Amino acid sequence: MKLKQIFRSWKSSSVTALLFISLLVGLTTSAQDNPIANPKAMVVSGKARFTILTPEMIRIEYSDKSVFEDRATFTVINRNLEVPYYEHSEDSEYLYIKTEALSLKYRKGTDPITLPASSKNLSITFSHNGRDVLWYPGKPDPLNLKGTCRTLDGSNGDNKRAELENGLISRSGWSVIEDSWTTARPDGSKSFALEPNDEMGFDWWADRKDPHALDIYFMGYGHNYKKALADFTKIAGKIPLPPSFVFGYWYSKYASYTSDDYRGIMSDLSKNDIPCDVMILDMDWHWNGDQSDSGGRGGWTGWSWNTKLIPNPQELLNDIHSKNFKIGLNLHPADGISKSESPEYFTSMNAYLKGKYGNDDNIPWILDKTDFAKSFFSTIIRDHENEGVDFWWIDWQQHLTSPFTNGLGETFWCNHVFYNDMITNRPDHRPVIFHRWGGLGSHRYQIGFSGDALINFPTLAFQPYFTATASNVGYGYWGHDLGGHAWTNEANANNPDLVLRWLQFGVFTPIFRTHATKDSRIERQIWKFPNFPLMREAVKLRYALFPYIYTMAREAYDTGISICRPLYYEYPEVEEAYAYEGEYMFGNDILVAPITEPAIDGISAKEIWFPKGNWWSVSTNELIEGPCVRTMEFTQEQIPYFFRQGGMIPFNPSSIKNVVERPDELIINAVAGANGESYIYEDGGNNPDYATNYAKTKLTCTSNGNVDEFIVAPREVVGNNAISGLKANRAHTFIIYNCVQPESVAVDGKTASTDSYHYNPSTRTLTAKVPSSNCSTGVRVTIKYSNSAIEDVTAENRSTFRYNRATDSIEATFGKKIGRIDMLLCNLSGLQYVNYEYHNVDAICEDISRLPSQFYLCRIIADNSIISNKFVK
Amino acid sequence: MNMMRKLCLTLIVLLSVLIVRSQDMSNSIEYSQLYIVGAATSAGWSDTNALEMSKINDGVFTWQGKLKGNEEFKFINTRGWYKNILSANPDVVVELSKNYDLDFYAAWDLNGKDWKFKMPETGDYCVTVDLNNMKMSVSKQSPQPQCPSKLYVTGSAVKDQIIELSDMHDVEFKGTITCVPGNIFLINTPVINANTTFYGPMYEDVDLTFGKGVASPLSVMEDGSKGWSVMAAGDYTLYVDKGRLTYQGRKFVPRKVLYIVGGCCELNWNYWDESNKRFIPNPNNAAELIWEGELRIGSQEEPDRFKILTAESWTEETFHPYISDALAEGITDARISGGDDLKWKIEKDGFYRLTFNTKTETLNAEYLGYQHDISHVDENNLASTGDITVETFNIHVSNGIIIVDTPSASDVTVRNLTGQTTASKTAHTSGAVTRPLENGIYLVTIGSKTVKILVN
Repeated sequence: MKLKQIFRSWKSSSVTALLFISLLVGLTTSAQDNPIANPKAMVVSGKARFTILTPEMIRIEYSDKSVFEDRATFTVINRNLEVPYYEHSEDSEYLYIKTEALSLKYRKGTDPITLPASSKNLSITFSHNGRDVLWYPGKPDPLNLKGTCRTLDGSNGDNKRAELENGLISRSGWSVIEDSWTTARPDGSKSFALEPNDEMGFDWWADRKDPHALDIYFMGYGHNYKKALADFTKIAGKIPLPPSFVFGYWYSKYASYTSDDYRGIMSDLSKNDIPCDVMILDMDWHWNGDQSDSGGRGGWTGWSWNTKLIPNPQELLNDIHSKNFKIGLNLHPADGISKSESPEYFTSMNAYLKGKYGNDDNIPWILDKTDFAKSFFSTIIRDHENEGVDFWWIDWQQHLTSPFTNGLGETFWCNHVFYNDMITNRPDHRPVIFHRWGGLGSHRYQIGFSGDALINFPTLAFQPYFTATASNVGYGYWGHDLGGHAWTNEANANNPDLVLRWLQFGVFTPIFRTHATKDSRIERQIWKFPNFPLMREAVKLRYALFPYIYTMAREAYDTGISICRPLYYEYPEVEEAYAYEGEYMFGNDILVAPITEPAIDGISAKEIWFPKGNWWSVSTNELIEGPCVRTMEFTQEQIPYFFRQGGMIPFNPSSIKNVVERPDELIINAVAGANGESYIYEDGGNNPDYATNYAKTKLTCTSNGNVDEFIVAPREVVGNNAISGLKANRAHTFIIYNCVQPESVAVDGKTASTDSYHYNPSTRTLTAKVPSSNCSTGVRVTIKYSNSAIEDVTAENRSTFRYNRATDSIEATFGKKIGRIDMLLCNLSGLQYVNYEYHNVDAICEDISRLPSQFYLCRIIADNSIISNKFVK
Repeated sequence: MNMMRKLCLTLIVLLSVLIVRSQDMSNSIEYSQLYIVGAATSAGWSDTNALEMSKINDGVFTWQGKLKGNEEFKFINTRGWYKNILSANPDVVVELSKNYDLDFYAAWDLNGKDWKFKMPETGDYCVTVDLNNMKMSVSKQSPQPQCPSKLYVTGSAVKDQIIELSDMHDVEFKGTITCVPGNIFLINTPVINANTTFYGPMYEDVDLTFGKGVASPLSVMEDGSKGWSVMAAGDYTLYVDKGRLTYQGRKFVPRKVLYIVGGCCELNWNYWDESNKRFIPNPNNAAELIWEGELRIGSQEEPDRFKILTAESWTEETFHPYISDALAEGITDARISGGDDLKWKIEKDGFYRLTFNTKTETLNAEYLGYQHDISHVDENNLASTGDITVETFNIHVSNGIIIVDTPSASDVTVRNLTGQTTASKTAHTSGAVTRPLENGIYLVTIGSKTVKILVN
C-alpha cells in the first residue's frame, strides 16, 4: 500500500519506452556469500551498471570498457541478496530507478563522476527527517560518524581522531562504500578481487577486471544506523564469533621473560586469585636482541624459539596449557625468513620454493604469492601450532603495501591469509587472529589489538569513543593495551589510579588485556600495585560478565551490531547521543561511562548523560530516570555502569576462574519495575559450526502493579550436533534491583521459604536463590510486594540544585523530607568553605555572597544519595 | 635544564613518529597535497618549483592558471619524482570538460609509463584532479566572483530571516546563526531584489559544516534554491574569507578544554609540561571557558604575547586575534578559521581572568591588578584556620584577622585578589597585620614570599 502511494506520487512525465517493474516474491537469499548478484537486481545502461541490493543500497559501476566486476572483492563478498522491489524507467536522456527508499537518476551515456563533483550526471535523492536529501558521486560529507584506523600506535590524547576513516553511517543519512580499485584506503592499499584458489583452499587476490572502473555502494539508510550496519554485513560478511577464551583476561607484557618467568607469572596469578585465560608471549619468544643475547641470531622478525630464554619450549607450552591458558605468539613477519635466525626453516622453505625467492641469506616476505604462503604455513606455522600455539599475534609495523604487488595492503592481506589458513587447516578450531584494521572488510578477520598508546589519562579518555566508533565499520573487537603502552613520565607509568581506571574501562571492552612495552620501569603485574584488590575486583567483574558478553558477541554475529555501541544507534535524533562520546552501550542493556580523568582526593566526578529510560547505577544503588544529565561522584572502587531497566543481564558466579568454565549456577540481574526481554547464548566455545549449532535461553521480566515476574525460559537448542560442555542443570540466583521489601517470593508458583531470599534495604536489592533444575524446564520467579511500592524514581532524581546568581545563594529541593542532609562547598583545590548539616527538611537555601568569586564544587549528601554540581560565582 | 631535556625528548619522540610514519607511508598516495608540473606550466620540469594545487575536498584538488599548448604536464604527490600521478594512457591531448583516467606510481623508474597530458592550445585553464577516483578534467578558467561589501545569510534553516554577517576586521565575514534542519544561502543585499547576487557552496547541498581544512570557494548561483543543507538543528558559525572568497561552517559544540601558551605564560611556549595553562569550562555557560592566573612579560621569544590552543599540540586548531599583537585587555575577537600566527599582547604583569567564549569567539581579558612574585604560593597551604608555616614565617588567621610572626623584621603587605592593598606593615615581627577582614582570599607578602590565605 505504501509503495503504491509512492509510485502514485512519483511524477515521471517524460518516461517513454521502458517501464520495468521488478516484483519478486518468495526469493530468499540463496547460497551464502555469492558475489554474483541476482540478474533481476541489475540494470545496465551502456557503460554503467546499477545493482539494487536493498531498498536503501545500490551498487553503482561505470567502466569505460563496459567490464563489470562479479567476483568478490576485499570489501564485498556477497551480492546475492533478496531482490528488493524497485521500478526502472528511462526516457531519451535519463534512466530512473526507484526503490522504496531511493530515487536514482542517471544521464545515459555519461561518466557518473563530474569534476568537480555535481549532480549533473548521477544523483540519488531520498527523504530523511522530512527533507529531501540529494547525493551525487564525490559529494563531501562532513557529518560522517567515522569508523576506525589501522592502529593507536603513538596515540596521545585524541591525536588519532583525525586518522579515523569514514564509517558506514552518517548524520547526513547517507554514506558510500568506496570499492573502486582506484580509491586507495588510508594505508595506500586497494580493494582487489578475490578468486577461489584450490591450491590454498580459500580465496586469493586477483587484479580487478577494469582497474579504472567506478565501483561504489550508495547507502541511504537515514538514521537507521543499525539497519545500515546489518545490511553491510549481508554484503561484506558477518562479524565472526571468536572463541570464548578471548573474552577472558589476557596476561601480556613485552619483556625478555624466561620459562621460569612465565611459570612465576602463572603462579602469581593463581596465588592472587586472579582469573586468567590467555598467556601472550611477545616477540622475545624468538631470537631477538643484541649479539650477546642472541649470538647474532634474530632481530625484529623471527621464527625460532630463543632457547636461551626458553630452553624447552614444548615443556613450557604444555605447562601453560595445563593451567588452562591459551597461548598467543607475537610475529613481526616483514623481514622474511632469515638463514641466520632460523636456519632450519630457511632451508626447508628454500627447498620447498626451490630457491625461487630467496638469496643465500634470506627469503623475503612475499605473502602475495601462493607458493610462499604454502611453504610458510606448512613449514613454520604448522610446526609451532603442533607445539601448542593457539593463535598468532601478527604485529605488522613496516611498509604498509607490498613491494611486489602494487596496492596490496600488508595488513589486510595478512589478516585474510592467516585467518583463512586457520579455517582451512585447523578445522576443529574457531579461527582467530590478533592483528590490526586493514580497511573495510577487516571485520571478517577478528580480533584487533590497537597498539602502542601512551600512558596517560587523556589517551585513556580517547579509547571509549574509539572503541565504540569502530563498530561503525563492524570492527567490534578492538583490544587495547590496558594501562597504556609507552612511557610518558614517572608519575603516569605505574599510577595506580590510572591503571585501575584503564582496567575498569577494559572490563567493558571486547578484549581484556593488560600490556606495555619492554621497559622495566613499567609494571603490569597487577598484584604488585597498592590498589590490587580493586584491580582484582575489576577482573572478577569481567569474569562475572562473561555470559552477557558472549551473548552480545553472538548478537554481533547475527546482527552486525558490535558489543560496544555509540549511543546514537539507539537515540539518533538526540544531540546528546553524539555529544557524550565518552559513553557507550555495552551490549543491549548496560550503559557505561568510564572514568578517564584523575581523581581528586580519591573521588572522580563525572558528568553523565542518561538517555530516555530508567537506568540502575550499580555502584551507587540508585535508579536514574532519563533523559537527564547528572554529575556523579565515584570512589576508586566504583565503576560508572548502569543496567537498563527492562534488561536481564546474566552473570557468572564469582567462583569462576576461566571463561571457558561452565558453572553450576547462573546469576540473573534485573531492575524491577518494567517489562523486558533478553537471552543467554551458549555454544561449544570453540566449535567452528556455531552458526548452526548453539543454544539460546530466553529471559523475560514483567512488572504489573505490585507483582514482578522474572522468567528463565526452557533452553532452546539449535542444530543437530551435541554442544560440548553445556550444563544440563543449573541453579539460579536472581538479583533484583530497585525494589522494596517483598511480601512473598514464589518459584514456579510455589511460595519460597524466607531463607531462600534476602532483601537489603540500603541497596534496595532482593537476592533470591533458586535451586538447581533442568535447563530444559525453565524457572519462574514471582515477587509480590505489600503494595504498589516499587520506587521507579529515586528521591535524588526528583531533587533539584542550582546556584542562584541573582541572590548569590545555593538552592536545593528534594521532593520529600530528608532525614539528614550534609552540604559541602569546596573550591577546585579541595579547600572546604562550607560544611553544613540539616535535618528533616525538603529544601535548603544558603547565602554564599560572602564567599570569593571562583569555581566551586558543591556536594550534597541527602541520606544515602549524593548530588554534585560545579558552578562559578 | 629539566625543561630542555623534556623538550629534546619530545622532539626525539616526535621525530621518531614522523620517521616511522613516513617509512610506513612511503609507497602510499597522499591525499593532502598535489602539485602540477611540466613544461606546460610556469614551473617547468622542476619538482621544487612544481605548483601546489588547492585542496577543495579530501583528495580533490584544483589549480587555475596558464598552460602552454602542446607542452606536457603531469602531477606529483610530493615535491619529488617518486610519487607520480600520470595519465593512464599515452599521448593524451586534453579535451575540455572530459574525464581522464590517472594512475599512481610510487617509483623512481616508471618503466615507460611516464605518460603526460597536453593542451591543444595555450590558455587559462582550471585543472581538477580527483585522487579518490583517479580522474582529471580541464575546463576554461571561469571568472572569480567579486567579494561583496556586505553578506547576509538566509534560507529555510534560519526560517527565512535575513541575517547580516559581521565584517571581522576586513579579514572575513562571520556570523553565528541558530539553525533548524533546512537550507541556507548567502546574498549581498538586505532584501532579495533584482540586484541580489546569490552565493552558495561549490558542492551543491553540502552540509553547512563542510569546509574545514580545505579551500572551498563560494559559487555564484542563479537563485537560492541551492545552497548548504543543515541536517542537525543547532548553532552554527559561518566564515567567508574575504580575500579568497572561500567558506567554512562549524556547528557549535562546547569545548571542554583550551590552553593558554605564550611568552608571558608560566612556562613560556612550553605547553607540554604541567603548569597553570588550562581553561576550565564555566558550568554556568557552556560556551565559556575561564582561565585565571598570572601573566608576566618574560624574557624569551615573544615575551609579552600569547595565543590559545584547543589541544596540547601545535598541529591542532588555535585561536588568534584578528590583529597582530592585539592588546588582550577588554573584549577582543578571536579567529580560528586560519590566517597568520597572530598573538595577543599584554602590557603589564599581573593576575588576569581570561574568559573565552567559543560560540561568539571572543576573549574577555580582565586585569586583576596585582603584580607580584607569587611563584612560591603553596596551594596546599591555602587553609582558613590554624597555623601556616612558610619557611621561617608563621601566619595565623583569627576572627578574620591575619596574624604574622617572623623571626626578623620584615615588610608585610596584604592584598585582595583584585590587587588592592588591604593592609601593610613595615619592619613587622609579630602580631596582627590587619583589621578583621571580610571573608575571601588574600595574598600575604612577607619579604619576597607570597602566600594565599583564606579568611573565612
